[in-house]
Amino acid sequence: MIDEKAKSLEKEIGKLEGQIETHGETIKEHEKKLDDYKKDPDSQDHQGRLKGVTPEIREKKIKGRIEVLEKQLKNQRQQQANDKQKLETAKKELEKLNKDRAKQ
Amino acid sequence: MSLSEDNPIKQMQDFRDVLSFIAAAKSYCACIEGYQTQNDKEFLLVVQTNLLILYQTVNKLPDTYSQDNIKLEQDIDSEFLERIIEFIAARLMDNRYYLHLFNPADESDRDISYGDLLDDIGDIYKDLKRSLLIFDIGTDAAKGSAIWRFKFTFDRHWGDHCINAIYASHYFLRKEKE
Repeated sequence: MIDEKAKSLEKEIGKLEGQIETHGETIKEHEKKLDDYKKDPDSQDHQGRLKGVTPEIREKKIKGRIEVLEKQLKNQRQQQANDKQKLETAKKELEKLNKDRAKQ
Repeated sequence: MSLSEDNPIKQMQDFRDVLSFIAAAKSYCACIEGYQTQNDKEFLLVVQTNLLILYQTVNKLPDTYSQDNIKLEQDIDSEFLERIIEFIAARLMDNRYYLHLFNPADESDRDISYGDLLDDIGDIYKDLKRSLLIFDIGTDAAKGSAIWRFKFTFDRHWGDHCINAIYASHYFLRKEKE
């Protein structure tokens, strides 16, 4: 029973580590995207779709895009933080289980 | 009736579902890389059709877990990616920015967001292309990693882009008809 539980926890830990790592790559890419956009919105515009509009609309679109990119990042960081929290819990549980096993 | 993981019928069904998804992902990437279009409407329609198939097939992928987490030794060339993004932008023409709610299920956030169809289509492409390249390494470990990655990145990233792109393309296509 304990062995089964330990096996399941080890699997969960491996899965969460993989998730955190893969998600980290996405977060890094989005941080760069947001940074690049803030520095130079036109470089991310392609085909000049931001140029043929009034300054007010241009400003609104740029502000709106920055907000979306920030929300995406916030969301991704939150999901990764949740995974990290779950990983910590699983590791502690496994450690406790291993101690119990050693006592037996 | 639910079948256990080691049931041969379940495994055959999973195998079929994986193949369907891989075919959909390859079709999407081929369309993004090379589809020559007569006009923006045609491109939108082709992309939307591909997205709808992707959305339908990704939800049938089996829940797998890969211990190996195989990654690409070298990421997709950034200049190649830039060319792809330019090519998408040229075919989208004016069908780029759209309004939407960031998360319609979150009642506490009622702010209108500015979506960018180019960003949606490009990000979906990057996630799928990377996983397809891992799948094409051909080892069991690589295939396992890729299948897990397809589903995980859908849940955490390109799923939102996919549903937003389907939504936006619907309205851009309607606008073309008016």
